[in-house]
Amino acid sequence: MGVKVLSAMLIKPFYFIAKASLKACSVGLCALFLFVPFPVLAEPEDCSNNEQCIETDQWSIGIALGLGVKSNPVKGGDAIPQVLLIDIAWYGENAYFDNGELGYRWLQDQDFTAESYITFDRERAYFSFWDPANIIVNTGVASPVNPSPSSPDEENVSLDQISSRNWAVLVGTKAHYYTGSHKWSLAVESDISGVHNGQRISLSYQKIWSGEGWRFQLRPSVVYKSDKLIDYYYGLNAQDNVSTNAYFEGSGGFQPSLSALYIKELNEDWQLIVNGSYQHLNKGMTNSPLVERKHVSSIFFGFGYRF
Amino acid sequence: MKRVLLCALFVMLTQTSIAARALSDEKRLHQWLVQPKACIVQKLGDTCEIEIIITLPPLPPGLYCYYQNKLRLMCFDAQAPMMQLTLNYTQSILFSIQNQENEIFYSQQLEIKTRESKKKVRRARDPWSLF
Repeated sequence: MGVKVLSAMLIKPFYFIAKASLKACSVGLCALFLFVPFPVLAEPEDCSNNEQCIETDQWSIGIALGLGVKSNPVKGGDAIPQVLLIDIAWYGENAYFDNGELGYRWLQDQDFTAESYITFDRERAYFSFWDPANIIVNTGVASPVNPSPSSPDEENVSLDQISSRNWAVLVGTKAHYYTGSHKWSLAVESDISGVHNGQRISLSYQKIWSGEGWRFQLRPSVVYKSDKLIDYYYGLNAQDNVSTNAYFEGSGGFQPSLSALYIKELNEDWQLIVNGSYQHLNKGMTNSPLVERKHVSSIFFGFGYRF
Repeated sequence: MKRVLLCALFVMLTQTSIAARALSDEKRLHQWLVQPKACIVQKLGDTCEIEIIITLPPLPPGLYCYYQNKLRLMCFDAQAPMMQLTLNYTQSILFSIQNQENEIFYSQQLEIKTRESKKKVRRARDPWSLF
């Protein structure tokens, strides 16, 4: 019920943006949008919330150890215990690297920031146990905790039978709007590696509560994944070692999610970190014989050390 | 005769110098001056609260207002100008005095400087979100 309400609130206005953006991408305008040159504004920012801000020209590295679990929506992909969480970032005047994202910020003022970047498609992480994403927890959105038993009429398909899915490299542009303790973000990403040629568009809202040495943030969001993206990872065809009855063509859709993160500073170096997330998957993905859950979720509790 | 000429020249030079100094003082008194022109905070984003002292040249009669950028701070009559004001700002501002027709009479850029040399920026991703 909660998911339906969330979907109704976020999806309707977002639907038109997503469709329009994808249409633009399909006629080659996406690349233009992603790299449109904007003047760099170097206005100072309100960085009263230290955890959201970072000193320029200095690496920020943190490691957290704890207990957590991340499961896998893909059939045959085991739920993975998570013990390690990493935070690594560097920011220059405009260029930056932040947790696997290499980008250039071309708008930076009191209320708005915007950047273009390249990153890898984290969807691939569901397809291999030893991928870093299966060891390191995501504070955003992860995957299901307990696999449910398969229904008798489901096709017998598992991770071991399918052809390998590759990492895709995405190029994207994000814009953030800040007002008080609220933050809105819109991101458009497109595959430039030719792996699946799909797109991903996400809209999120974030509310932060903070006090002396602690911070709690709640983020409802919705991501639209295109047909090509879903079909590449969750579709089944002749390239996979499955019966023809199991062939499936994935289709795009909206995936609303809710994530929460709590950080409590214990001293100058150590902090307590608790996070959890829930993501509802679209039917175009969950109808795949390769997918066994309609949602993904994660939880982590641990202690982080910042170098 | 030569001595008389030298004395006359000396007197003339002295008078010129005194006149020039008086003119300079008069000009200085008539200058628009805001002190201090910069405020020092610990780090970028911190609020600077500073009391400024304003030196105003004589103003034509009427109502005038002080502005912090486009924000009107306070108004006064030209006969009784406010010469002291407390400002709050987080980034450099334009301090100005405007008449009722919103014409800027005088303005002064007030800078903000930080003790911490390192600049802080907002992160593009949440912390602890490698995956």
